[in-house]
Amino acid sequence: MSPPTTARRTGTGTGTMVLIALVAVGMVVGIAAIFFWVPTANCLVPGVADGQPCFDARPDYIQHIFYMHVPIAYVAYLAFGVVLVGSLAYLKTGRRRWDLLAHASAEIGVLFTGLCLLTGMLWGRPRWGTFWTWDETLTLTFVLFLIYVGYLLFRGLAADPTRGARIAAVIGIFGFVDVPLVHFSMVWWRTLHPAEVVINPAGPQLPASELITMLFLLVVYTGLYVALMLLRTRLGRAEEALAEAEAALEERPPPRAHVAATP
Amino acid sequence: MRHQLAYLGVAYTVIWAGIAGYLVRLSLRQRAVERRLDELRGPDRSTDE
Repeated sequence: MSPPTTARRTGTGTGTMVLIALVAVGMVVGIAAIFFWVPTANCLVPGVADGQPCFDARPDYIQHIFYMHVPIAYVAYLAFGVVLVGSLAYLKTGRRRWDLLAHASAEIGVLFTGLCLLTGMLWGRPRWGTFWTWDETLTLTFVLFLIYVGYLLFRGLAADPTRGARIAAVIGIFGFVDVPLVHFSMVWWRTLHPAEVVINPAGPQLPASELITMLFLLVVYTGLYVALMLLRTRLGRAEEALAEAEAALEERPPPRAHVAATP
Repeated sequence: MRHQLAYLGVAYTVIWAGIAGYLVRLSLRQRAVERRLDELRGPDRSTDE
């Protein structure tokens, strides 16, 4: 029997490496824009345009967290959106590649949601005087984090991988319901969390330099998400090949015991 | 102001540490899986040949 060689031994692709390099450069440019271009004074008051005096012109370095926190939150939404698409496609077609996509995206989504929660807490402590409050937006984001941590735990603990993947797909689909709840909680309720200033019915509520910097970092973080997805799906394919190779090894009949010729 | 910069520094460190940690974890897992695949394929190739 020929050995199972469904996975090719591949190094990190050139495209992935180029993308990671571009992301690194983009991050440096984004951080330079945060520190040297956008106003450091607290100008994040709706309606305050570039060039107009701020009401509070003291340096506000805490606001620099915003330019990372918001793109991280959007990329977490994107990641869970991909989990939704991958899970629906897997349940419809049964193809493993969709499950692999959903699994990879859920892992990255959990990472980004965790970073979103932590950066939000570090923004909130100097602003609100507390790291955490059971505000609607914060609580729903924490629930979102727990749903997808549960998704990953379930996958890891499932005895039957195929059945585990199908149930995880259902969790991935229903878990996505929380994403619009997190986003619109800022619109529907008067939460302590600042109102949505980018996707706003009245248009972006940010001065141009801040909006451009934030959108630029949104593109950079999306590039980072794509790069992480390429690496994570590559690992997933290698793990599948390993599982197949180990299964094939177990199915193989044991070597015959050497029978000594009788004289 | 120093107080604000401290929170900012911690926030940025958390972000980079989180992303870098995940990249390292992916890389280590990839290496471990590829090493195991090589181990499994090694004897197969020798018997097939």
